[in-house]
Amino acid sequence: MEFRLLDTGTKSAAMNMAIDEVLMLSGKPTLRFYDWDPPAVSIGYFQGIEQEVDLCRAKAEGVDVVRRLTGGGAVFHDKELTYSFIVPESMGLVSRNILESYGQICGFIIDGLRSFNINAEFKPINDIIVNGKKISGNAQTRRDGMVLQHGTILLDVDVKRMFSILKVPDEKIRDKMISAAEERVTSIKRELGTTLGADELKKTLLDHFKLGTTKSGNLSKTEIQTAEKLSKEKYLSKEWNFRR
Amino acid sequence: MELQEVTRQFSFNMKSYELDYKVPNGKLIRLKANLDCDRICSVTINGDFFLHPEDRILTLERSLVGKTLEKVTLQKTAETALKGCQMAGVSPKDFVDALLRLKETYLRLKEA
Repeated sequence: MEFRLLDTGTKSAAMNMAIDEVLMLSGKPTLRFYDWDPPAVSIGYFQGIEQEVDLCRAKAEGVDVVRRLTGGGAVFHDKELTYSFIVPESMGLVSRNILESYGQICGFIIDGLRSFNINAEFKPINDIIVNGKKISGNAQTRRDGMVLQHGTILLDVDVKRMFSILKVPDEKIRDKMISAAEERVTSIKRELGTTLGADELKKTLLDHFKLGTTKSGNLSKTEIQTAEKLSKEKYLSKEWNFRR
Repeated sequence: MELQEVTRQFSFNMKSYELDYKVPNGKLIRLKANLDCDRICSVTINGDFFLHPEDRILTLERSLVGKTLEKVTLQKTAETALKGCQMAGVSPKDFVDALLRLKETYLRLKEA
């Protein structure tokens, strides 16, 4: 089965999530790269939006906030490469066991990072770490026999800005948490000591995702229309974003 | 049935509780519950865990309404509501453990 390769460029948070859902429902194996404009916070399916995000601050800074269709934690999307990997379970490319499949899909990314001499390794359940520090977070869902895993690879990181928008459990320890996060999070820039362009990373990752036959393409007109509708009716709606 | 649930939710003894429970080697469960003594009037189970199909969390939340915070009852309810689900970072037992912590909080505050 041929894999579809998509680079949808920068989109709003709602549109990015809508496109991922449309692609999952399409039933076609796809690898998509994308970016966020404006920067955004995505929260996990089961998270309480007001528990996780300083909504006033996000609004003041022009940061989008959206609920994902996948579980996991809140993510501040800025200075990163985001991917989504969509595959029918029946292809047998990834395990039906969710924990195993995280390891398999993250394995492609790890191989790509290692080609830059970055000592990346899988940390169950859903993270990729370098020397103990997180460089990539990933989240997965499954529907009607389809697997969707999307995730981020940090090109650079501004932990202070991240925690100005994401809520910390206790304001009294904000500074301590930022210091701790500085110790727990890394980026490609930090590891290499130099900036790596998103295009170079995409190219390298493509070489390491074991996709078999591939074909680059674009979203069809129908897919764009469906995603725009879904973006407006679901991912921009209070009903969806404030459901928890 | 609906009327009974409404009655429970508006009990005069109802109090709100919140509790975060980090699953050992797993994810975070964040509970928000209204309790009438140790009986659940309503509960929201948030967190950064993975559960498929996702909407089964609503089944669990609804199944817990009216139940007391007793281990056996909670175990049976969680196992039934989440039967066939795939989970990562949590298990039915972890939800039960979180709810039992909530009971400890309730008892502590009751005695205070």
